[in-house]
Amino acid sequence: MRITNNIILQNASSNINGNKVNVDKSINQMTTQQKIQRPSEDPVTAIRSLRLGTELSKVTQYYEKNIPDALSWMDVTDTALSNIEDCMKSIRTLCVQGSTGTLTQTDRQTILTQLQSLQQAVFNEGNADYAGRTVFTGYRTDQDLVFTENESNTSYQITQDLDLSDLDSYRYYNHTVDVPANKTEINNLGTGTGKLTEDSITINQTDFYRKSLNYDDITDVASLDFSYTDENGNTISSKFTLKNWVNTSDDSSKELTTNRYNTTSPSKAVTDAPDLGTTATGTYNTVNNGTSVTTPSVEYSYTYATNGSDGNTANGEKKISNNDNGSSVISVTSTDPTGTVTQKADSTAIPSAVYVFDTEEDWAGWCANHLSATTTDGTTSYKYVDKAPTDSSKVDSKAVPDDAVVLIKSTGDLVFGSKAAASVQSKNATVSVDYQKTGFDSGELRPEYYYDCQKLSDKGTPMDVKYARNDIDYDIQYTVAQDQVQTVNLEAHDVFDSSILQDINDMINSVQATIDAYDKVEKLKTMQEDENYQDDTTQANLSKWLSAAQKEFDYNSDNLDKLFSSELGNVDDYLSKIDLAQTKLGCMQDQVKVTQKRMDQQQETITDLKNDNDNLDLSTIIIQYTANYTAYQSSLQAAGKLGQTSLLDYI
Amino acid sequence: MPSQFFGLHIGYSGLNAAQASLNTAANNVSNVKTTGYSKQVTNLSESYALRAYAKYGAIGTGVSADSVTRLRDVYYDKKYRTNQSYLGYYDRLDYYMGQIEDYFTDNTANPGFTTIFTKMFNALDSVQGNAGDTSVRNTFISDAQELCSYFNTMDTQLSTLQSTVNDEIKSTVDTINADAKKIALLNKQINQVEQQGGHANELRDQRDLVLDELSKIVDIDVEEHDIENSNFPDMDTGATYLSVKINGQFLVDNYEYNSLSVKARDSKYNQSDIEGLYDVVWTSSGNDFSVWGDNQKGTLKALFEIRDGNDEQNLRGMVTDIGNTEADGSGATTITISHPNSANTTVDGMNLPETGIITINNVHYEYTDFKAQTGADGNIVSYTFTVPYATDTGKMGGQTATIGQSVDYKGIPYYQNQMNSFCRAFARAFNQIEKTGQDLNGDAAGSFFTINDRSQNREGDFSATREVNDIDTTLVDANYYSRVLLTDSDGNPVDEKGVRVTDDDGKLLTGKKYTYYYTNRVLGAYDSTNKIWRPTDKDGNYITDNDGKLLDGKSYSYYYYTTEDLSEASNVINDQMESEHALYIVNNGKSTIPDGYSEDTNTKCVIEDASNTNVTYGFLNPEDDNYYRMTASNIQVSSELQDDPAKFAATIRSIYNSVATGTDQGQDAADLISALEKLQSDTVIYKSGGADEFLQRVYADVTVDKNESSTLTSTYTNIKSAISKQRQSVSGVDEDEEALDLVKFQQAYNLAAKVISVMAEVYDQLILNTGV
Repeated sequence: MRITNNIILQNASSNINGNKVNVDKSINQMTTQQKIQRPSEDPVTAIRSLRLGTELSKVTQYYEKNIPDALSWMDVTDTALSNIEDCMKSIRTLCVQGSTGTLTQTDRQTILTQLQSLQQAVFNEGNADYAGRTVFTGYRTDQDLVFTENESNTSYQITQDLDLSDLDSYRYYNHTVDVPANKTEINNLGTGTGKLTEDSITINQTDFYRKSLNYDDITDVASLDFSYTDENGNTISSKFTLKNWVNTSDDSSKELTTNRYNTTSPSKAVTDAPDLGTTATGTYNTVNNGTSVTTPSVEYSYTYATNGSDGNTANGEKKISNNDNGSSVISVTSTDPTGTVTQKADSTAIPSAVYVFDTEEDWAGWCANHLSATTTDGTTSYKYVDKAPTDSSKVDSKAVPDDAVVLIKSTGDLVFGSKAAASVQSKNATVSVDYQKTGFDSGELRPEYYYDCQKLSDKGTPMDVKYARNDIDYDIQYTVAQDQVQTVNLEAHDVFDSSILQDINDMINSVQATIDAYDKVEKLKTMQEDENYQDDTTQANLSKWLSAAQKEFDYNSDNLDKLFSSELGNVDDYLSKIDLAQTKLGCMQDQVKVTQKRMDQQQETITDLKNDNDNLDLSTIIIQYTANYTAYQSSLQAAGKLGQTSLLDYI
Repeated sequence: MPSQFFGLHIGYSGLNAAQASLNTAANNVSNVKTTGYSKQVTNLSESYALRAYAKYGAIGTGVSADSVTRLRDVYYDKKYRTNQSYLGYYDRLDYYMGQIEDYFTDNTANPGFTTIFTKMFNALDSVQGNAGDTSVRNTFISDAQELCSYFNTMDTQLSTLQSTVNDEIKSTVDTINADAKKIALLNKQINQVEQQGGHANELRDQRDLVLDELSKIVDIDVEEHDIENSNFPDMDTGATYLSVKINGQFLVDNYEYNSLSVKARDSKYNQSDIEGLYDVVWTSSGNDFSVWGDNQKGTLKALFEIRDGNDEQNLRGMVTDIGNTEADGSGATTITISHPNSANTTVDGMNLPETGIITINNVHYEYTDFKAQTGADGNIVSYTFTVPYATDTGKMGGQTATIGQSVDYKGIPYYQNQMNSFCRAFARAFNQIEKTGQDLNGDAAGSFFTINDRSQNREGDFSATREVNDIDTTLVDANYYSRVLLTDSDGNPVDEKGVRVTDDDGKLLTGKKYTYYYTNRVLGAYDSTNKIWRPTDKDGNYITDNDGKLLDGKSYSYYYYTTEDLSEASNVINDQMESEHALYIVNNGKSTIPDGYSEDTNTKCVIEDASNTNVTYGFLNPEDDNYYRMTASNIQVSSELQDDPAKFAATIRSIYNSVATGTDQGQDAADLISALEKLQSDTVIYKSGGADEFLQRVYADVTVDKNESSTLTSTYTNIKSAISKQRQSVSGVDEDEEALDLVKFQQAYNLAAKVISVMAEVYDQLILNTGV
């Protein structure tokens, strides 16, 4: 082949260019330390780089953002839990101290002050927040757990379920002693108009089982639904519904402020349900200005579902109409799915009547007018009567008819009559109370974290927002790893029971009552020494006052002792709940920490992999660069020789 | 015995020849670096011998310099030009694929799809743990908008690139024309020179150079032959004829040339095409200039492939129905095609423009609108086009119809289509989840990704209409359907002819328990006044309910009845037809087709007995607010959400419901987020892969093509340099050779001069010193 100078030059130049391309590539690699500058140079590397980049970005998000966030959240929760635990421990110490029975007035004062401040402290911890997000309130991180100020107009319709299998025994006193201020008052004992009887300064103690709603000062009660599961697994329930509110506040008679929730007829419906096709009638006694009025009929209804022997299900509702005169009427719905219609609910399982009172005083007044007591074998039995008995069966203490339940709105106590208590406890019954509460104090729990409830407007109508517990877990979850979410929050009901407030209140009230009673005794003792009261009558009456006061103190002191020791058990329960919460949190923290470690390693591994994939080892690049550069240099050198001489030089 | 002075003449001829050779060498040396220059040689020959009538016979008369010709081998020219067309083709592809690759490249310096996409889902991760925080929501929303902007930008870049390529097509066509003109001119000049017996070396060099250049742009067939004088076939006219053909058509026909021109298209071929793309036509005839021949290469083809390459994903199908929009046969023709190619069986893959070109039997027709119909599985089974000026409709049946142009290359339209498909699939999946949720205010959430629909001057949020695929299967009240029940005066069901119908056992049906309802076939008519579909009876009249009110949004025809009690929900017709007009029919086992009616085969409706199959018919109208309208250029995060992050739904409606019926869980409820997070990689979104694999799939396409083009570019460059060397080896000027020639011809010259000098001495001797 004929080679011309131009061919040689062209060859040289294209070879030099080839070398230059290599040098350029090496220099690019060296300056960027990246294996490839564009995907097409090595698609496999490029695509792997994308994958690893995504992985790395994700893991970095988990490791550097989500996990630290989750841990901080849990740290805040942890701190709050320890604080709550400390408070509860202090309360426990106070319980122990209170239940020893050898307290001085100063001790009691100290206990009171401590209880008050601890009560405050426990619930303040409930509002603990992480970066402005409340930790114990589920998804409602923008809201507090407890009211931070008194909200007198806030109103909720609340449905609270109470377990009645384990009732507390609680003591009630019909009076407290009002220390007389002067001689006239001291001597106003005796018989005659306007005179205080000795009875009226006699403190009577009664002991009933009770269950507290977790709020006091409730406004209205809409219904109570008692139910239990019988031995066949069927749910037996009986629901007390308020049909008409009785507004008798303008009436001077206290007993008329009582809303009566039941009378004989509806209970008859439960115990004595008519066969299909028959009509039950009943009478309903309503109390009107102290006079018993019999209305001709009463509305009650029940629904039933029954499986006949032929296996068919019959459904129905029986309703007896009522010429409603505006008085309060209850209807009882009895569900008896067990089989035949004739198989009735056990009337003793469920209270036959519910009486609702605004205050304990109302209750006490009603007891005096509408209860009769009979004592056999040391056991006192109470029953409802239309008119106050005048004989010894008259009741001068707070009491509940045997098969009934009394609900006190001011304290939120459900007080059970003896038979009702025995029955609900033995049947492991529950009650669902639907009530309305207007006005909440600072420190009270917001109801939405514990109960199905609905906020009410100023006018008492339901607002848009409804809250349902429904056993939904409001888990705040952080993604801490690929396909791994971690719940970070404990909800209020995981940490403390809403009954803590009521329990501490009970304790405070008890201490306060004891302190007051002690003060009364002291005051009366001082009066005994007072020169103004040295006459015999006065002294004699004073000693009666003193013994009443002393009795009040003794009762209260004894009660304090008993209450504190029973609260000790409750506080232990609360403590163990907090313990449980702490353990749960600890487990969650451990899980996240394990994940954190794993993410740390993964981040490192992926970073390494990505570096391996994307980046060139510097020494490799340098070697390559040197090789390429040397090739380039030598090609230049060779080209330099070209054309230096030609034949012309020799001619 | 020759003349005494004959020797002097011989010497003179040597002198001349050496002189000419020296000049040629000088010319060669001067042009040693001239592009396209071919080494010239002076062709010397012995002069005719002279009969000397002497004993020794004839004697040589010296040398004659016949001609100066180029050293050139046409075989190499042919090889070179063939290679040039390949080189030009792959070189252009390589250049533009490099650009496309650059656009898609995702690295630390230029964050691309994967980086942005991952960032968006990381932000979503944060929302999971903190759903109530508007700033966290905002971060996510703006990251999502960044993803939309990425697609918007990519689309703009690709469109700009398409426009650049389009311009380059125009300038390339100009170059072809200029070259053709030059060649024709040179042909004339060469003949002018050569007819007079010369050799137009320089002009030929120029012409070869132009042909070299032209061969890079398009494949050319160059043919050159001598022109004969037919009267005197043996006569050398000196004239030659040269033609240049492209695809068998004359570009240059000796002194004449045909120019090409560009013509802007009236309609788009692909949905995302820019307006005014050029087609190339022969100026004189107006015929299409096709670059699509199998063996065609060259830069022009590369440009077309980059600009129009859709990987043959444009719609193609078989013509199954031809009709008229008006019953009397006037008006536009509707052409229905079925069995669409797989890319066009879903809304996501559709890339046909709203108005465009449909080609049947090689005839292009313009269509003014189209509708797509879906079958039982929700996939598109057929398309119906409105063609205002159709001809030869009789020959269309069963023929293949092509919409736009099938180009077997992954060019700009292909990548735009990929992005469109991805955007649609991803946005739909995201919106579907979002729409089940509710926002921070407790309101039902709308679409997250919407369309900034400039051409319709609206924000398409898919609220007015629903996509075929979105249609859920909510059961409707049986009473609703009993309104279209046909009954006689006694309230018993009757067929269209008023004849009472029977059940399977031949028992007459009574009362409303048995309900008639219309099923498929006529499918209603479009009420253009109210812009909705209405069901019609067989005569095309709108059907009213019992109160005389026009039914809307439904399409019924053909009686069909069931003996099932329609008060049982499971037996009820299942309808969801908003303006996309889907009709669900539960076709339960006991139903039969009434006498006098038969299964309609035209619509390919399958009425299966005893199967309880849902038969679904859906319609997609391109003007409606549906995912067909969503492209990479117009996807955006709903403007409402951009203004108010609270409108993003993080929780499911059924749990976190509002207004009176539901309950409030609180602002941090985030149960929807984990479903959304699955869209990152778990849910199949794009080409059987997760959404995060989008770029990986694009990389796979783009890098393969880029690699191929760059490998082949370097291959053909090497071949070019090899052929070039061979050509150079023949035609190149070698300095040493020329130097040698110089020496050689100088010596020859000197010798010839010496001959003259010797002859002069001889005369001198003879004249002056001999005998006198």
